[in-house]
Amino acid sequence: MASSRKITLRSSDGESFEVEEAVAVESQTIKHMIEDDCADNAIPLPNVTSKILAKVIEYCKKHVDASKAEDRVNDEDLKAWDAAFIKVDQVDQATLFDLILAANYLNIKSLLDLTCQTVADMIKGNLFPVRNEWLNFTFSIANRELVLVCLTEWVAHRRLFCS
Amino acid sequence: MSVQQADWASLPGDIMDTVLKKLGSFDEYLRVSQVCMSWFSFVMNHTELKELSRKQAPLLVIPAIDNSRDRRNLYSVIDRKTYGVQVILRYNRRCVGSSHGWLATVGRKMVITLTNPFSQRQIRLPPIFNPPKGDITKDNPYCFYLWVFKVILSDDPDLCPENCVVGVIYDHLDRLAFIKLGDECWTYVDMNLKAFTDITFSRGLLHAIDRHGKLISVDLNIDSYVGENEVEVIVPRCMPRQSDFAYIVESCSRDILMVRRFLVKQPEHKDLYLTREIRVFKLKRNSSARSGWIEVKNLDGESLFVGDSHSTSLSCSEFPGVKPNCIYYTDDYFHDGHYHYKEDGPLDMGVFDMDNGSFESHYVLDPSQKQFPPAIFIMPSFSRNFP
Repeated sequence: MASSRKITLRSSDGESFEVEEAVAVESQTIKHMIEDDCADNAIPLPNVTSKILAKVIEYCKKHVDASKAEDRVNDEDLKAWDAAFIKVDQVDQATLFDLILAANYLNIKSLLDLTCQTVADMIKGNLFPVRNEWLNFTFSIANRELVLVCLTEWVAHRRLFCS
Repeated sequence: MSVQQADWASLPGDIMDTVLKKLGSFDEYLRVSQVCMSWFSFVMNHTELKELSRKQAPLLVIPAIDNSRDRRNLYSVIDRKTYGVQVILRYNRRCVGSSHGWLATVGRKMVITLTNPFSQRQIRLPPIFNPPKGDITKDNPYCFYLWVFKVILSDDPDLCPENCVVGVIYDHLDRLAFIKLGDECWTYVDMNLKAFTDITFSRGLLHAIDRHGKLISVDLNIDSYVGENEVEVIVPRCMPRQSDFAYIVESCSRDILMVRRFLVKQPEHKDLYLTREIRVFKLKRNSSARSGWIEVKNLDGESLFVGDSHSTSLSCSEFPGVKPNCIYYTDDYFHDGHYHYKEDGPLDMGVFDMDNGSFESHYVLDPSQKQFPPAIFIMPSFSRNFP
């Protein structure tokens, strides 16, 4: 019986995570690193903090386990697990944001899809407040010249730095 | 939960693309553009979204549901629902035009401003008239918001800035003028031609119609003729009845259609007139004899949108959800230079089904908003080439 190889992943803040190879290669990025033989020592992931990496590993582990014959989880249950995993009260917006970037960097298609769907749902649910005050561009066409007046960019800039 | 927890503005473009693919309607994309500058830029420069927005049926610009005087809401006549997303329009009067996704408004100095409420771009035109000095009250025909009746564009100024022409019906006699974007002065068409109720561009000419079926076309090139534009009277006054409104629209198959709209006073109401008859005519051109109007009983799978907006024809095969052979209309009552809000508000809007002759309503005006500006159709658009 082939023993499952362990891979060590190191987060940006120096923490090491040992995971089964099957879990690690849910990430296409890590898969390519292994194939390119760069994985003898720990694989450094400078873009991913330990907090986020822990969650990514949790996700990948669940999805690998779900597809194993002995432990088969049906699609609906997995979807329910995904929903609970990503639920926006469980996961604050900063974590969701970091998870998207991590899923993108690590090239984990299903996690990227899940997190992007969550953002889409937030948009549909009007959970992003509107910044209409920023949108105030005026183009005056006189003598065939365009004069761009960008008043509220300045206001927004002030708000950001002077509040 | 505050959005400042994460720097959503810095979400990379390819991730934004993935998110956008999970959205489905114009109002959702519009909402994305309103979250922050970076997402706004992304939406306005997104080629696929631009194409998608062009396939959305016209929306209705309605008073803001929170009664804000700086914003308007959008109503989808197809889905029969008010979108939650609002657009900024810092103007609380009747819009004098809606064309290619731009709304036209007229300000105190007789300056017409074109605003694209989705991209927030604005274009100011030179003053159309120099009013006499002094205080001008609302019943005076020189009052600025009575001076301009209708504004249309030949193209989207963002797509064709070099060739965009603005056509206008103006003054208390409803005369015609036009200007090419970038020019400094308006060109006023023959002052003896008046009483027009609608204009449209077709085959490079400006066409105008009146309540008696008179159709003229104006050549926009003044270079060819010394000082004057060539005006052709295509059809003289010919209709036995004067209609309350008349619209001129070029169909998708390039026919010229005239839509005549008749109001009927509603019994038991002091001042309520509703549209209860609409007739459509097609222009039959005849080189040897006079051109004339032939009444048509269906639109061959097209539908029309008329009112204060640029009269538009859509092919229902390209715009699923739009009922074929229907005429969607809004309340564009504007009587003899006196614009006063009707007692019950601008209620006269709905859909006329040519197939069965029925009138149905789409958006129903909230009685608490009867003093707000009337609803107007707008073509959804995300302008391209945003810097």
